[in-house]
Amino acid sequence: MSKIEEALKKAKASRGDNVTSIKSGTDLMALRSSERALVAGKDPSGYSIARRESSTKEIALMDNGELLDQNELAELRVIHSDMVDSGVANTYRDLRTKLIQRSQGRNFIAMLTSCVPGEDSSSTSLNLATAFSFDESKTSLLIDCNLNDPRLDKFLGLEADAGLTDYLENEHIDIESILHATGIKRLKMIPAGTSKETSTEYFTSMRMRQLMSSLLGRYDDRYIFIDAAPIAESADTRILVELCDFVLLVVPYGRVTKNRITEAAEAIGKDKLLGVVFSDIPRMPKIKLPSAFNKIFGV
Amino acid sequence: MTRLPFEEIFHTLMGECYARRNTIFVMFVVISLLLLAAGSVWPKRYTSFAIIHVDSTNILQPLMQGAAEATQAIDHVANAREIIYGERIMERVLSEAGWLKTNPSEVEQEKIKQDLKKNILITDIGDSLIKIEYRDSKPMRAYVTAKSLGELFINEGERSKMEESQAAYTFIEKQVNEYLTKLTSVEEELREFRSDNPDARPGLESEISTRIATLQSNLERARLELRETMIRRDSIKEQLSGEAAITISQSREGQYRGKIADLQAQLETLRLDYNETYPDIVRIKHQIEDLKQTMNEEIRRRSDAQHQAKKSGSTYVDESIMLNPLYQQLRGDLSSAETQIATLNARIAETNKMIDNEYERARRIHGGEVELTKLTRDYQVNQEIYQDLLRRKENAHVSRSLDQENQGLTFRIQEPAKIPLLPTGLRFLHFAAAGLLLGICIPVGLLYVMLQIDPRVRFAKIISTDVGLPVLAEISRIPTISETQKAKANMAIVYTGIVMVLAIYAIVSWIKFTGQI
Repeated sequence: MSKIEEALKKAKASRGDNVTSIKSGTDLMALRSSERALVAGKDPSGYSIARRESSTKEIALMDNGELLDQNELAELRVIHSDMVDSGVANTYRDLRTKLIQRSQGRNFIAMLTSCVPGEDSSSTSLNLATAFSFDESKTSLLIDCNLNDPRLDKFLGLEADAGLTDYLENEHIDIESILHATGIKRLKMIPAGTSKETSTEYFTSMRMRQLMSSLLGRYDDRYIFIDAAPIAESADTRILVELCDFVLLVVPYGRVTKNRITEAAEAIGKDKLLGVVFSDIPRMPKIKLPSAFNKIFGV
Repeated sequence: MTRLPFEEIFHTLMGECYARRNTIFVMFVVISLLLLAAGSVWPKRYTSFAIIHVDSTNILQPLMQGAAEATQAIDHVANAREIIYGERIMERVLSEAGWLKTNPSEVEQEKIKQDLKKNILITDIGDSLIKIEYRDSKPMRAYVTAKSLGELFINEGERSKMEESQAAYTFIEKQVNEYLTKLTSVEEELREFRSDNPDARPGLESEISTRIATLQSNLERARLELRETMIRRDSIKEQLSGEAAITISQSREGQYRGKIADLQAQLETLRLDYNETYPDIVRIKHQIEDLKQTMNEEIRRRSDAQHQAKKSGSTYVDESIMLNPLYQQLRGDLSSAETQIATLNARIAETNKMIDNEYERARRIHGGEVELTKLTRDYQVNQEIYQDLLRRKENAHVSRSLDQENQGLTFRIQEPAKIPLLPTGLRFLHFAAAGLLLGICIPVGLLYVMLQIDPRVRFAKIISTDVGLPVLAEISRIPTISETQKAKANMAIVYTGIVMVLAIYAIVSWIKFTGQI
């Protein structure tokens, strides 16, 4: 039994409310706000500043592991706040703002999938999660759901460790044991796991739904990003669409035709598809003029 | 297809250029150096030209106006080309422009002529102006050759024009003589014909036709009249057969008897009312008595006359018998009709004879008139042409005289050839500029073409408009530190390469302009 269910039971017993148990993915989303409140032991409407403060404290105390320095992040193509060319970081910040506006301030589960195989969705989801973790009051969690071609752990240089499939297969494994530090402040990740068989069964299981609900409900300032396999080529991704709040379709520059984009968008469906992230655009670097030139011409 | 803003295309193109900088750089170096090399070895070409005014009027044209159709579209350039490329002018150009100084062999001369022809350009620049252009690697030779070509062309043109006017005069003179002979011949034929056919004159046939028609009309009228007369004669004959020759009038005896009968009737009527003594009755009785007496005397006189006639042996004609006047009239008419019939028959016979005569005459003159018309027409036509040609012959004579005295000159140099100071056509500078420009434009242009034809999406606007999905972010490629360092090193190489290419350009240009190559 998950912690959420335990919390729900406790809440039901203490307040006598008729709380419906979690049965399906469809009412999962509807119950999220109630769950948050119930996990916190408070009414959803009275979402207090005290709770926010305690959350910030919890975040501050969060185990980030050994943090990566700027060079290491740059080598991993991950944005950081002190980037020389801040354009990309700002783009991700803008995207973050758009997503928060869309979710009306609530935390959410966003899935990123690409039109074609490659590391586009992994890179974009990692950077987007990193952009969310720039904010000290927010944490982000990255889940590698691309079971056939998991990239995030390799991307971050993590050793193959217990991950999502291990958790879904083994009931004795708890959530904490699959949450791994990434070396980036306030960003944790769940790797794909060591077992990669019958993947479709994993995502349709009740345990998967409970996991998602639990992860989302535990901290209301935790934003979850799922890195999924390309939608056109993976049945897993189509199932995962049901479990997330919205989907971002990553379109890599110069590698897909309009038809492929349309097919991917149709596979996701209009309800969940939030929009397209056009990635990997080649740009000519800005020519850095000598400082003497700038002084003379006042540039 | 979505119309993309220039700025977006430009940024994408720049990004692609950066991504493929090595390929572009290599293409730039290859193209620019190739064109620099081509420009270095490209020979200098000096062009000298002469502009010649050619009068478009042909001497034969005004002379033969109306009599013969001359070619209207005169292609001056084709004419000039024909003259200049002709063997005569080529030979003279070779000698005048100094090509024969080295004493080339026949084969070499032929090759020089071929090269000359290749380098000569003859163009029509309008308003009857012909530009004769010659290109050569040496400016002086270009000038001399162009000058010679212009002058020789004019000389040749004048000569051919003179020949042309002479030929025109000769031609017209020949024609005049031919027509004179023809005219004389036709005149003679006409004269002979007239003597053979004195009554042959134009319009005689129609005159005969009219006459025959008149005679035919008269004949018809006479026949009609004859038929009418014969009908009248038959009618008179019929009337005559029903009419008596004499009539018997009432005798005096009969007249008296009648009167007595009348008086007797009156007497009877009066006796019904009156007595025998009534005066009227008495008077009537007396009258009857008188009448009876007179009647008896008449009877007696007649019988006496008859006796008297018998005795004398003469024919006694009763006084009551007399000739019938109508019968007499009809007899007269019949006689008249018979006479008219005879007259009309005679007239018809005469008219028929006259018609036959006219037909005979018509047959006789028919062939003669056709011959006469032909001869007359030939004579008139030949006469007209002859007179016209005589006039033209005079004009041709004047034109020939003008040409002989160079008064009718139609070629003149509008602009003489000059020594070219600057080379023309493609020069080193053009190659050098084109090398740098094309070195950049060709690879960038190819990239642009690829952007246009490659169906893979390279513009966010296409996703938002063509596919209809909102684009939340456009994220540039994030280079790693090592990639950045590599890119910097790479760019340093590219910049160095560009500087080296420019340096090569500068060196080659300097050598070129100082005349070392």
